[in-house]
Amino acid sequence: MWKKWFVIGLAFCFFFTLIGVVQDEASAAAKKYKMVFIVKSMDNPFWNMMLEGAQMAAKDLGLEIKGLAPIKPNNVEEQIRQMEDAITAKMDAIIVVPSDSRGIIPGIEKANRAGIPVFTSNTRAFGGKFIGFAGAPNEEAAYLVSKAFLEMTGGKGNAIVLEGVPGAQTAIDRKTGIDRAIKEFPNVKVLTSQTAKFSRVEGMRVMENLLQQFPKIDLVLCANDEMALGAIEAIDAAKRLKEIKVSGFDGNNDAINSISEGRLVITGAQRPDAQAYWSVLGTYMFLEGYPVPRDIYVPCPPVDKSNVAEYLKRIKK
Amino acid sequence: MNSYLDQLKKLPHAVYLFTGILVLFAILSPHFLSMTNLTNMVLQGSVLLIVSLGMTLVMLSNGIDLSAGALMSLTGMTAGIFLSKEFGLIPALLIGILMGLFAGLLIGFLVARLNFPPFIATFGMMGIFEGTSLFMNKGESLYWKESAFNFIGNGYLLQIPFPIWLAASVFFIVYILLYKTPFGVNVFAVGGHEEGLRLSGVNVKRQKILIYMVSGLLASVGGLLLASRIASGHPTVGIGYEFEAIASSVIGGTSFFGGQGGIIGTVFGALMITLLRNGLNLLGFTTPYQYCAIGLILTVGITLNTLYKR
Amino acid sequence: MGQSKLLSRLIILVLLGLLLSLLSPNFLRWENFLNIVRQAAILNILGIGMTLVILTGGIDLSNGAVLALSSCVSAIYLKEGGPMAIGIGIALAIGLGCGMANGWMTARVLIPPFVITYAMMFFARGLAYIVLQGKIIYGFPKPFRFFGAGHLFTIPTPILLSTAILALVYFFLRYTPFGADLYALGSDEESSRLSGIKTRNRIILAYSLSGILSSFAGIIYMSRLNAAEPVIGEFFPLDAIAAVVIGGTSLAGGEGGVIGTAIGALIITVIINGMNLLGIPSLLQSFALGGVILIMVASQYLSGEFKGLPSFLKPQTIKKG
Repeated sequence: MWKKWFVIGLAFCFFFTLIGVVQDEASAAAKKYKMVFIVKSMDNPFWNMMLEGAQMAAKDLGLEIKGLAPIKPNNVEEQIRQMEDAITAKMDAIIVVPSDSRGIIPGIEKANRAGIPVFTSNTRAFGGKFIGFAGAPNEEAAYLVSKAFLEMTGGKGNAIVLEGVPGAQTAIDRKTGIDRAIKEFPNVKVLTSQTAKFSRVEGMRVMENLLQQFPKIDLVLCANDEMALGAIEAIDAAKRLKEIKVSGFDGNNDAINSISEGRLVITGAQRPDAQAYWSVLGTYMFLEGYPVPRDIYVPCPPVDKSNVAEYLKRIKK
Repeated sequence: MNSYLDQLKKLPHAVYLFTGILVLFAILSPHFLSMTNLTNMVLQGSVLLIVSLGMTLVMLSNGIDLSAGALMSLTGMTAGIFLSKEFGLIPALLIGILMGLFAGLLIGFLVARLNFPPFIATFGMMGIFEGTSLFMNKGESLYWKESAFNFIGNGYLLQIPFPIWLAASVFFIVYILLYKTPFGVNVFAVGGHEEGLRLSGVNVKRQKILIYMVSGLLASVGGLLLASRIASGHPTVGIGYEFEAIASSVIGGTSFFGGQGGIIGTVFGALMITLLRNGLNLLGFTTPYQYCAIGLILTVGITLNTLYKR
Repeated sequence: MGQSKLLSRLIILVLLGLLLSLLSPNFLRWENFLNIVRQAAILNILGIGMTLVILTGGIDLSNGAVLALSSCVSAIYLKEGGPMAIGIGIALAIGLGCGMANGWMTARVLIPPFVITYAMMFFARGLAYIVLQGKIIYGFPKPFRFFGAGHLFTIPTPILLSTAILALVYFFLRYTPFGADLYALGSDEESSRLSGIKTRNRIILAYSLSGILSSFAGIIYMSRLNAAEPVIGEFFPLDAIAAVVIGGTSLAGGEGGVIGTAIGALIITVIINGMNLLGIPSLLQSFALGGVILIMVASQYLSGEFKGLPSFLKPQTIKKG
């Protein structure tokens, strides 16, 4: 009786594994280069859009790209392991979005020793030899978005800053940009600056806590849209959305919708798919022997109620 | 010939499980059996292995240690502080080791003298360790200038990665400790018949404290290795290791209720978990499919294991 | 359940409350109380499911992943505009399915619950990601938001729902033979079976309920977050176990109950609330929570609760298999 069950289980297992293999084999035929694209986590649609952008580039250029993310969100050790596996599998190049700009260095150095080029996407690495970087000018863009936000909302009151993942260069740069903007508005008082790890769930939880702690809040500046959206839910549930204004950064679909609904005030439209595309393109050019610019900055214009319509159109497509 | 079969039967079933999956992956993926990959795999499993050995000791004595992962992060952060202030390699290593011993002492005290249920004691300590790690550098990682410390996680000795040497050495030491010393005999005894042991005059309380100190030490060594691999101290890098360590032990045949099991099984349990991640990566599974596959394979594997036992 | 145990937990809760009201003026506001009980609601429901499983001497590590999976699948359906009842039904069905699988594997194939629920955790979480293809589903219709964000007579819905569930399960455990069976098989599985209790079915029942309750908690959570994403619930198993253990249910099974768990959930939530009101930064909160748990247990020790061997250190009767 049992034998029947575990033969079935075993068969299930086999079948499942074969699916993965077949996928791999089929796509491996006649592709020019094989690359790995490692993002930070699976818990943010931002990374999914990056991988989509990468696959678009792969299709256009005739490449094979495997998209990977750590199982534990933002875990740099797993990213290093994935880089090691890519080295073993003799990939032609590795594109990585470092979860920790310094923690990733051993991984990059391993790839350097194995002679495999590494391209950093969206987030910088602070060491190791990489062939290029493509991403948002985070500090400048966050500054512009925050400045516009403060101008739009009157530039005064009690503010809360929600930061990104500690140690990530994007988080560091955005906080610098946000702080720089706040300094220009002396009537803005920062109650506290805390991390919500770029996550919607964390954003909601931390905001719930802060709402209890501070009876008067006017402004919430978030280093990304996910945290902003989570915070908005918390604020809305506490029925304080009228008095508290929120800003984000990324420009993801939910944020665009939220702006058109009047809940989120402003965001900065990163184009993760574009960043990924440029990363793949840059890597391809390198492999083909062309010189590649050291930094490719992909602009992120602010998006608010006044110009949200064209972004909405793009989503509807 | 019969005695060979008997010998085979004595091996922990985790060995068969592991071999089975190894063969499966070898068939399915061309790269799998390469020396590079196998070395890679053992390298990646070395941290888990070291921590799992400690967890096995604790479980054998009918305990549990949920704080292992947080202790790993804390050790990394502490060593990181020493390294970033350039106090030197040896002090950094020493503080890491002391940290592990001290943590184990604390937990052992709570469990043995204050009779805290191990689950609660280590759950509470987990929070304390985690909070301390986060607090030490405001939630950010700690970095240091080039240091010999990085050799531990990234260096090679006679063509073999150093972590593998480290894990193998730790295994041998723990093996001797567990199977060739009175301490080891008592570990099993505390788990299997604590009352009887107490009546026969052994200081059970002290034994328990010692067990937690050893496992704390092992968790710290794992934490130091981990910090070296990522060349930084990271406040939350260890989260989740405690569960993987428990899983390695259970898959390896160690019972939750103490007295039964052993570290050979744990080695294969830890290797199996690592094997799953590594093999699935090579086979081209994207991360979500890896999750599912791990769940399925674990289930099928442990089913076979359990059924075969009867 | 031991009345004195319950009482001691209540006392701890009250003492905590007193301490916090002295330390922070904001604590004693009605709004804050509502906040606390509302935030405790999801933990409560998960804790109730976990209590059932722990009573049988097992554990359920998959509740967070099952919550995520059932939320994600039903979210797709709800977003397409299907009737709410069916959407909820889908979620509950998934919870039931996963729970039954856990229970069946534990009871019939005799896999240690730690391993099977650990495996289910991976499996369910992976499915949740696959099902949503990396996207997040956002923005549910107003009627659905009632579950997590609505009010009835000024009382937030989650409070009403979790209290109702608490009452139902309490009744189930106390006054039905099924409940009695769960306790019996938790304390001594062998003799329970010999005396005619269908232990296997009861175990499957316990895990199934845990699964359904996880899904139900997911509905409230989804409704509150106004989004479904595969990442939710990563730490829910530990949180639920903490609530159960603080509430006095023994990890070896056979002893304890859901009222204790509810108090345990409240204690945890009050502590977190207190930390927020006192401005303890998020980074330190895990430290403080851990510390408080230890202090609490130490006080229980001093009050004599742990004299002698804790129950699960007693020599085990031979479990079959």
